[in-house]
Amino acid sequence: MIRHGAKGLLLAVGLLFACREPGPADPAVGGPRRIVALAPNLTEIVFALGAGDRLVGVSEYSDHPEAARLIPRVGGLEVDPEKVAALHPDLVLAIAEGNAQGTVRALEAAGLPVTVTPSGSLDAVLESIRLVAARLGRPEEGRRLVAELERRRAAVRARVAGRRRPRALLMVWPDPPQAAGGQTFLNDVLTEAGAENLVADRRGWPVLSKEYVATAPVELLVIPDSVEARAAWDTAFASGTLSRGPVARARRVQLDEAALTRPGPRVFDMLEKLAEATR
Amino acid sequence: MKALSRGPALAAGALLLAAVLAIAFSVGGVHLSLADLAAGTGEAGQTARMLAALRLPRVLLAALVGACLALAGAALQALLKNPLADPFLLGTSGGAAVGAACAALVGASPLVSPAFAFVGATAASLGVAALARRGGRLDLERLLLAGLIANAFFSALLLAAFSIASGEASRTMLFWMMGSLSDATPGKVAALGPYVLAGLAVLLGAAPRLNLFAVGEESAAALGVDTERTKRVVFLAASLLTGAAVAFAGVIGFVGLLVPHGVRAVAGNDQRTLLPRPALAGAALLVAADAVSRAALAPAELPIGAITAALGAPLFAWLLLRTP
Repeated sequence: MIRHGAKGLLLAVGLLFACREPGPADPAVGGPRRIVALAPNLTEIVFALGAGDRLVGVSEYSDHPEAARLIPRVGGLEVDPEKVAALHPDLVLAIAEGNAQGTVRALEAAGLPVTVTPSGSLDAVLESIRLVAARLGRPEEGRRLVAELERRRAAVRARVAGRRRPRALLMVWPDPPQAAGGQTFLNDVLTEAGAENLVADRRGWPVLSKEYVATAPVELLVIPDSVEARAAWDTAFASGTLSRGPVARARRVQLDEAALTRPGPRVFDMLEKLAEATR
Repeated sequence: MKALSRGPALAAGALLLAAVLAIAFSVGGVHLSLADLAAGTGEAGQTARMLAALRLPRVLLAALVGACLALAGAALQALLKNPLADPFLLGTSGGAAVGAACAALVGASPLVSPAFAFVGATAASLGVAALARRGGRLDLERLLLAGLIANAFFSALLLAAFSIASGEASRTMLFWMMGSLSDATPGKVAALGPYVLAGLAVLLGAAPRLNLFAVGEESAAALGVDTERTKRVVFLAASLLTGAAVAFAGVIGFVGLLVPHGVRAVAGNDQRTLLPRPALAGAALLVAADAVSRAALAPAELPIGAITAALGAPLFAWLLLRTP
């Protein structure tokens, strides 16, 4: 019943928007004015491009920059399509990895102009910034931001070139132990910061066996730091998955969880910090 | 004659289990050198001992959980005279998981979660039995349908609990829904041991009466068996075993279905000789399945429930085809 209602509403909203001509925003009129970002990294990208004031809806965890906290919420990774539609957005930004593709299709079917950004590498993060900038009608700001990030990225690469690469794990959760594997943006962060990802041959975000974690020849352990997860990590270091073997003795680098795990501009800050730590 | 064949058969079962335990202990995603474990010095010895400390409780927990589930399945199949009875299919495991999830939601200590799981399992068994009762006896068809209903209901409760729980609690719940042995500790092994022994003792005590159930409930009653009391005792023992297994390893399906059939095919239908064996065979099966789950996708793990279901579902289909 509820689902039916949602479809009806979406259809009605869809008809409303069918009258508009969807297409690339016209820079002359300043691009879309009512933007909804369905993931926190997209919120950060929009703000970084100087268009934060055009956001009318954001995802639950959009807490950066500070101004983003005041924008109405449209749900977490499970977006509420009705809330999105009710905001009458003229641009909806979604991520390919994380947002439910069914939701994205429902929004598209309702006639909302949805742009899905790519993921899976640092290049995809930069591509996302370019894409969002183009949709915002601010391609020049996008080019400038990407060029700046590319410059910092190249500087990091130059700094770590020739160094011995410490064997590393970038873990996203302690128990069950889960790490960044190959074809993820965090694998690029780890590699470009001068480390060797021990689980690069596992695609995505593999849940590792405890035996592997206890015996892997880890020299550098990178973990996200957040208030919510601190107890879980403390337990793992004190008596759990990270309390034995090389991983317990490995050099530990804690990086702000939100900045590290969101494929947005701040990930390049983390790249620089990590490069400092791999020395 | 029976006394003669019983001893060797049990000894063979114990040997099989010992062999499987030894193999499972030595295989896994990470190589464990037995030589280093026995006599290794320095880092190699240290690594081997650490691996052993991780792997041994896990292998033993797999054995105990397998024994619990197989014993519960064998008892339910004998009692209900139904080859499709299994704590997973009859909703007992689901009830236990809901009980354990409640324990996590209220923040109870992991030590009392088996008690919560036992209450959930017992409530599920009693509820399913009440739904399946028709004219004073358990109806086969209704029993399976009641199990189906119970499972659907418990899935709904678990999903609801999962969505209101946050962070740590929701991860714990996901673990119950999928079934996993990766959290094995010596403490859990020690805690589960008494449940297996108690369940086995109760069921062995009830075995002669269960044999008469095979002839028919009326005949058993005519031969002086207190059938209602026997049913209650066996149901409770099966719930206790299931609750304990689920509390420590989550919901692992099909072991209770698979193992009693295999044992009956080899050993015939006498409960007195049958009953200890599912414990050994169930232990061996789950230890082997866990070894596969550790080794197949290393350094990641394959969920144990995927392996037992891959073995169990085809057998279930075959049984359905054979059952008139």
